[in-house]
Amino acid sequence: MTALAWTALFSPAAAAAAIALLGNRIDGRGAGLLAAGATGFSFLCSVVVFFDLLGRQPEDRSEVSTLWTWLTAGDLRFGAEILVDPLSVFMMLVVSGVGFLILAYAIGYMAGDEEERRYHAYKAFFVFSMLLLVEAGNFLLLLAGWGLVGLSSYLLINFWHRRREAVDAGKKAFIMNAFGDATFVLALFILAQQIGSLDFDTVFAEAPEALGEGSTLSVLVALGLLGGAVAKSAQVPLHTWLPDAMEGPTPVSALIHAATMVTAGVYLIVRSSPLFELAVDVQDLAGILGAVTLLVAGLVALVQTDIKRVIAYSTMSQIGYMFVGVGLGAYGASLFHLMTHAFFKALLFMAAGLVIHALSGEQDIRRMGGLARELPWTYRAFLVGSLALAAIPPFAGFFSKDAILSSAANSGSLGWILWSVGIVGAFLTALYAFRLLFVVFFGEVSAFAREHLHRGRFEGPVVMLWPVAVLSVLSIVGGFLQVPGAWAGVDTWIDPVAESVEEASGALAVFSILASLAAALAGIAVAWAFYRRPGERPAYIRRRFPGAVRTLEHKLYVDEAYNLAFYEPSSRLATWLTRRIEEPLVLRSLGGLGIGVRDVSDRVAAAQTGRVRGYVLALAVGLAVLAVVFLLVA
Amino acid sequence: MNEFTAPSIDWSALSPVLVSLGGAVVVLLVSLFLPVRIRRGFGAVVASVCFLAAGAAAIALFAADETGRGIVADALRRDRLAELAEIFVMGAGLLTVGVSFRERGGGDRAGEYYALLLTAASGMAFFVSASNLMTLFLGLEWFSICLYVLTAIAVERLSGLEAGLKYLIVGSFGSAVLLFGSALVYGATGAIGFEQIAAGTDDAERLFVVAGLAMILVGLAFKASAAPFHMWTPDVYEGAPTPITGFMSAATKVAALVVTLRVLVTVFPSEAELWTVALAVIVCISLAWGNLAALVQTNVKRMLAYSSISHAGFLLMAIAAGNALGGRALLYYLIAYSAVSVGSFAVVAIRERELAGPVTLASLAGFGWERPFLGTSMALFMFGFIGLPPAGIFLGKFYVFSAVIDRGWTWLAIVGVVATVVSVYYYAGVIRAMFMQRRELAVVAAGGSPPTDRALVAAVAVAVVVTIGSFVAADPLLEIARDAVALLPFPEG
Amino acid sequence: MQGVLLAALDDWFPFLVYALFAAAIPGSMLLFSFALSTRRKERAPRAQRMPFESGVSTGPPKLQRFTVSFYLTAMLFIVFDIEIVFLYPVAVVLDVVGPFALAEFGFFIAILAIAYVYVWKRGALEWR
Repeated sequence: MTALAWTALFSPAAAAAAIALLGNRIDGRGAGLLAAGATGFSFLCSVVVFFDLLGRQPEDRSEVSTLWTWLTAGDLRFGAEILVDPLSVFMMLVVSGVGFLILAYAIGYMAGDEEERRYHAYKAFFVFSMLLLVEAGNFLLLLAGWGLVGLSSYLLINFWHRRREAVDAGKKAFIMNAFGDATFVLALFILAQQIGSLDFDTVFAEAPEALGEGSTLSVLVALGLLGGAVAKSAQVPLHTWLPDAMEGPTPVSALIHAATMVTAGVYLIVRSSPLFELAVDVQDLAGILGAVTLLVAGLVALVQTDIKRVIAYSTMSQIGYMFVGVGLGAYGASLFHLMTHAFFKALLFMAAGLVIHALSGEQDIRRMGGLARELPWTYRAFLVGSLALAAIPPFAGFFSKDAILSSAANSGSLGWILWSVGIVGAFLTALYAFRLLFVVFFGEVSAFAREHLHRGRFEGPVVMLWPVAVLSVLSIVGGFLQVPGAWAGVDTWIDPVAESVEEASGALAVFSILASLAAALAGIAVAWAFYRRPGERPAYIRRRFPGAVRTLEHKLYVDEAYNLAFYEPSSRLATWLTRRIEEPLVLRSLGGLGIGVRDVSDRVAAAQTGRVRGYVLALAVGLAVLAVVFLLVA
Repeated sequence: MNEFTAPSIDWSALSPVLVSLGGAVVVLLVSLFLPVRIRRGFGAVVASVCFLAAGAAAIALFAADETGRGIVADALRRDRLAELAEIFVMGAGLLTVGVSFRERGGGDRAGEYYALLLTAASGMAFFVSASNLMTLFLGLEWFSICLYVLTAIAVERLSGLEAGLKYLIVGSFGSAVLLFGSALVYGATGAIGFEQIAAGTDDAERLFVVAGLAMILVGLAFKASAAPFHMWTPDVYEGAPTPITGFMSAATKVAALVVTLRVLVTVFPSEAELWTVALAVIVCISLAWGNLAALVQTNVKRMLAYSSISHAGFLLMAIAAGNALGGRALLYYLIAYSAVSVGSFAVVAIRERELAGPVTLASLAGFGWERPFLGTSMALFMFGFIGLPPAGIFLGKFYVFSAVIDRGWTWLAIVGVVATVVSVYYYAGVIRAMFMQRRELAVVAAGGSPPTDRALVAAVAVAVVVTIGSFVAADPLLEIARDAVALLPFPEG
Repeated sequence: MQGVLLAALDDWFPFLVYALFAAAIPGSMLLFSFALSTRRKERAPRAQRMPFESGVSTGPPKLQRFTVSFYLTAMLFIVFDIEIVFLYPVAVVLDVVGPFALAEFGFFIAILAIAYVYVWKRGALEWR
């Protein structure tokens, strides 16, 4: 069984290597097929592993497989080992399954791009990194996957390296993630030093004793891990890279980020939940950050005009829900939402990609409108995605979001605060989701669309359509894995790894469901009123609250604040140091030092005269000195 | 007269030596009767097969041998240390065959070329299993003479002839020193077997033992091209055909260092204080000299020659630690170092063929973009020389440093780190030249762009795999290294 | 201490002499290569390099030119000759060592034969 898990891990890596090595002996489509096929194969392996686990007793569902020990340094031992347990298999299924659909879609989307092959290789590499992250059997390997995911996302974000925004976005993502990586690594240092191992089993078994519950050390460890998770999952305050990363590059890479990569933070928290439970305050902090993020992202999404950006912000806010869930200990619900979110978010991005494709690359929603008549199937897919996002029953998002909220309702006073934020968030979610839908698909066909719309026999190439169809179905039925009051598929599955808190039941649960449903319907109603057709009402709001709108349009000025707080001072300091310290002091003396070294080097090199007698003489003198010293000592 | 009994001969233990030697005879004789144009192909095929077979034999022996024993009347030793070194040597030889395949000219000498290569490798295999002073010297001369000829084999090139002559003269001097040292040790103890000498040193005249030790040490350090006995290295490395340079820098170093380790630890355990300190001094001189001289080189081959001197310093540092950890570090280091060496000289070789002239930093400009695979590999090799991941030398240096720190010589580790920092300058210079420098002078390719050299690319690819693989599979390889040195009588056992 | 040293000297005196010679011969070679190197002569004034006033000018030295084949053949002769010399000791102990010696011997001759075939086929024995 573990052999299959290894196969699942390495098959995308092999595809990436093959594409790189084959070079131009393979065409773009072939490369795409190879990458998608390898990922699909990973998915098949994961499915088999899943059924194997399913056939076992819940307590036997965890297995570590070590390929070899990489390094032993004193008592520390690091192995290339994977952990196959319900959590990792769950993530494998999501990553390879959704990844496969995305890669298949990319074959059509990227067709004809100049560097198509490179793109497919990157994607396969991304899937490999992500699988490494979720399958890793110890923190070191997890860190390796974590870093590789960061690297491959950097490569994907500035894939179109001739576009300045793409390159800037890539750098931004890299720096923000590097910050998270650093705190993550610091936490690992503490673990390695205190526990003397980075294996999951050992760490979780010995952490309560070695770190102590609620001690400073355990808080620091949890904070470090949280820092990594927050950066990777684009939560406040390290969230600004995600929207930029969506703007620059292709929608397809935006998609893979949204559907898989950003959930890595959620995975990390669930995986290391024993450590977080030692530092409850930090876990609460995770929930609070999630709540703040979902509010902020929901608000900002209201005024964005780039189709991908709106979806990007919606990603942030949905991850915020997941953070609320893990912060409160509702691991099963969070992972459930992670999965349904992967379905409907991928669906939304793909539908948006179809729109963009049909409009020759246009992404500004103000130039769209009335596309429902032109692209009816795309419209339907988008509608399904939006309904799932807004959590309308029976679509997938309803069950998962509701599971998180009803867990929150059952978690004391902090839970109630987060629950209320979540309800407000639900309203905002429905509002921005349907604003987007109405603006793009309703009303009159815009002038731009009339001019630029082009479509073939279908609304896109077939390779791009079938993943959309599959995801639409999944977005409709995916929620029935866990139905409140009836069965809890995900919770039971995850319980052996991380036990979730009780969800609310009875009247409380019904109340929670009704409240969130009401909020969502209200959001849709408001969107209907304002955006059904281009009208005066949005403009009126804009006139009435110019400050608020501008603040939102500038994304709450976070970028500006970071510029002011970090970039400006450090760049000033750097300039000052260059001018006052480096140029007068260091450069000159270093120059001297450099010249000195070169001088010595020249002399040393000049000792090599090319004359044999000199060589023999050196040998003889060396021997003589050595012999004399030896004899004197003896 | 005593009754004579023929020594029983363990043929299987000799198989790596015999296979390569037999291959040499076959290549030498058969290619005489073949038309000139297929000699190279024939030689290459036979040589590869022999290297593979000899390597496989060594691997099988390594797997089979838990303990060591003397063979051929205790003249040689069959143990894992020797067998591991034989694997390295045969591997380096195999890669060298790939690198040499498209070397220009000398088609009618191809038979001799491959025969000498095989003979040199078999001499090294003999040398590393030497177990008395006689076989030690015999093995040394066996492979050295082959290398002298190989250095000068391109008789049309004056620089090659000059290098060969210099190597011969200086090398003879080095061998003579080793021989003299052996004579002194024999005179003092009356024994030539390594273990018998070690047992006899207590009763022997210390003066002569120590003088002999000094001379043997110099003779071996000479072969390992450690400063100040390194003077031949830059000239010979530059003058020799580049594939041979790669072979020398990898295989000779393996052989010389493994034998140094064996001789010092088994023959002179009582003088350990003396030779560890002496080695520490040699290490410092090698690191300083190699690095400083490399800084100002513009010829890449020459630069790599000095780099090989400074690496001799790092490798001897492992022996200077005088403990089992050091021995393990040495063998692990040698895996990655051999691969990086052969690989980097292979890349130099192909550039040389394109330019039909020496490769300088200036003429490397743009190479990384012209030949992405080879350029990237070369960059990896340079990273490897510096000692950065993902090359095994990173961990090799780590273990070498921890071995000397274990001994209590933190200062030596600091010297090593400083030397590493200095070395970044010239290694990074190669990467810079390949990827970041515009080509200002038009480099005229000799006779148009050369055909793709599959054999060389394959050799480079193998070197890349070994370089990265030694990092990825660190622990299993360290286990192997541990097994190899397990039987050496290190002080603390 | 002194006694020990003297006793050692007693045993090893011939060896010391030998060592001195061994050091002196290569040492003198090195020394002479510096002392007699041609560069030094060139630095001497021209007059010193001239023959005496009354001497006869030697003119350009007459070089006897030998063909390369001569050296090659001579060298090959020496190689084979010396290897054949090894036959004598074997002949002396052949009755003691018996068939083993014969086998070893055959092997030795075979190696020489290989070399001989190589030299012949390579054309080194042809006089050019």
